[in-house]
Amino acid sequence: MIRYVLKRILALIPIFVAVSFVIFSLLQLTPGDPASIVAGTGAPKEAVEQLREEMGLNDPFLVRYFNYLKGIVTKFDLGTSYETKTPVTERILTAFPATLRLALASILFAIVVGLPIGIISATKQYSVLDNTFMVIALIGISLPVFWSGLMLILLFSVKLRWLPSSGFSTIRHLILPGITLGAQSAAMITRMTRSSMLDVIRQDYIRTVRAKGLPELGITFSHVLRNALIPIVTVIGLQFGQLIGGAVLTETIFSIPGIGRLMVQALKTRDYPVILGSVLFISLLFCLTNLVIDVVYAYLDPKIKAQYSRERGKKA
Amino acid sequence: MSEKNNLLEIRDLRVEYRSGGRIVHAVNGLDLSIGEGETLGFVGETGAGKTSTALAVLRILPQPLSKVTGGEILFRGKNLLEHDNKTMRQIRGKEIAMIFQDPMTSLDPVKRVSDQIEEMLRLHENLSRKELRERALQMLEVVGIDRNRGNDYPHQFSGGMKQRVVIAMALSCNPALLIADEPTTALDVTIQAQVLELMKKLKEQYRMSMIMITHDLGIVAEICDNVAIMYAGQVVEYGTVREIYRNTAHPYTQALFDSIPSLTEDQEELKMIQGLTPDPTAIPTGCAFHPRCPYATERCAREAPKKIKLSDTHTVRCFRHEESLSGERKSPITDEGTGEKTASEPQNHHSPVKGGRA
Repeated sequence: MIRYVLKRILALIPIFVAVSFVIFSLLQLTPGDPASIVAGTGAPKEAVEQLREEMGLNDPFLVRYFNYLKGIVTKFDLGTSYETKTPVTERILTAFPATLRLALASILFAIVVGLPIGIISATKQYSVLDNTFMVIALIGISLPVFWSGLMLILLFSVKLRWLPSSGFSTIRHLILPGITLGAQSAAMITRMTRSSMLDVIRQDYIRTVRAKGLPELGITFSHVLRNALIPIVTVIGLQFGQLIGGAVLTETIFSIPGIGRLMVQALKTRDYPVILGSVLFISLLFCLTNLVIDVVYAYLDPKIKAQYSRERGKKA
Repeated sequence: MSEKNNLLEIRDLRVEYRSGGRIVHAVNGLDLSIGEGETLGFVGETGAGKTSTALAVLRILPQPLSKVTGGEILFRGKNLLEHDNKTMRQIRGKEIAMIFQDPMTSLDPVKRVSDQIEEMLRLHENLSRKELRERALQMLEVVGIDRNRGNDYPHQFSGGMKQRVVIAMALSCNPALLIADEPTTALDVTIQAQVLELMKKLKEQYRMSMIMITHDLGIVAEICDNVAIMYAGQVVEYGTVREIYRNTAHPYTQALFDSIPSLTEDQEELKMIQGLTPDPTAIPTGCAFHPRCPYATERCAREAPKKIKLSDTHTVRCFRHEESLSGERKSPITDEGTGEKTASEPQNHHSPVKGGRA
């Protein structure tokens, strides 16, 4: 099992290289000269040219790319922000806690709401309750965040004055953005829970436990949900990965100083090192989230666990 | 057999399925009874309603697609259909246990096998955790599985071993009635014999009644006391193994026997029953078997035959036996053997082919 995890972490390296290369290349293709941005408007040509040389922008593409990688590997250095002249790593790590808190709040909301609704829908398939929930879930998936976020602010902050509309210091500040961002995930989790449980409900082994005389509630939780968990966990993991990737719109609407806002700001000012660094950081987190999901699989399904240890056996 | 001794008695049972707006009549007025300690073979083609009957007895028909629409199921004299859910749950597993057809899918894949047996015991027996564990492991030994394998998961067992686990589970609370729904159909022929042997042994050991659902007449001969032949959701012939094998009365039963390949004669092709199992959404009028019956008359298409008593234990639903009510019993099929052997060892062309599928 541990070997499997180590192997998976090693496999992150090629992914990381590929992602960094693609993004690095794409940023080269975008129009605009970072040196002139850094130098500011109206700077003399010579100064800009000198800056280009200092920033290494005159080096060939591959040289620049390898220098960049070297910085990451040797010093965990993602470069220096053009805008603030501070290390990119520092800016990302400053912004990340806010994003992480928002992501945790959202996924918590999504699970607390989505899972029970999915379970009820599955056990009462085609009932009025089920149909109602499914319509709500569809709406939840379809609602754009910029609209639902604003509506929540209008209702709970402006009209009712229950909750703050912006800022990021207390738990109360997390509620509205958490709901806004978590609503879609909740809907996804609901639908996945329902369909996955419906698959399991029709299995023979559920009939077997029913024939044992187990009450319906026990069947639902101890057998149906337990067997349906893998796809549900997958959705939760993927949703969390996305949430961690910075909720650009939500962070903007609620003025949360997270990664999403950092990226938007960096895009506006053509702060390439920050964009590049943020994307790499997010992709790394995404990969790690996936790794965690895969490890959780082993605890949910003994067959997968056996498979992981077989892989070890083959190597030995 | 007197009615009083009957452990289970099914009267005029009707089960319907809804399928895409159409009504499927899975069981149509089925009568059946099984006494204490008796083993009943429940024989019929796929789709004859055997499994539906079994599920109806336990009241675990798939919801909400199917339901019992008529009849009664008396267990120890009480109608199971009238019990509330709680009482019914106490009967499931404890009084009536069931073994399912496909062992590969009958066990929860994410639970250790000993836990699955323990779950059954926990529901019905008042035991401490330690005792539960011990009983579960004992049950594994009873069915011939090493107790050290209790912590294994179903995927670590072969099909035959899984069926042993299912049997261990079903017997763990010492049920009065065991319903075995084609317990060997999904297994290899060699494993079939082993599992069957095991069931035979355990049936004696646990002194329980058993309904053996099968389409294999060989299995019936080996393990059953009585046989019910089912066609289109109805019992068309019922009798002791000896009566069914020797004095085959219903043309459908005869056709089933004929379709068993002979070991002694040279056979070019397998004989089969002409026609198809009737579409359960449109069961033929009159006798449901008449479109496939070589003896069918115009009356068979019009009128449904009543149950005719050929002996105290032998009944048939076929007009061809109306005259035999008067006493002289004659089977439509010439019978070479004159039963000096025991019922469980039929001979001549009816000899059971182990593992052969009728």
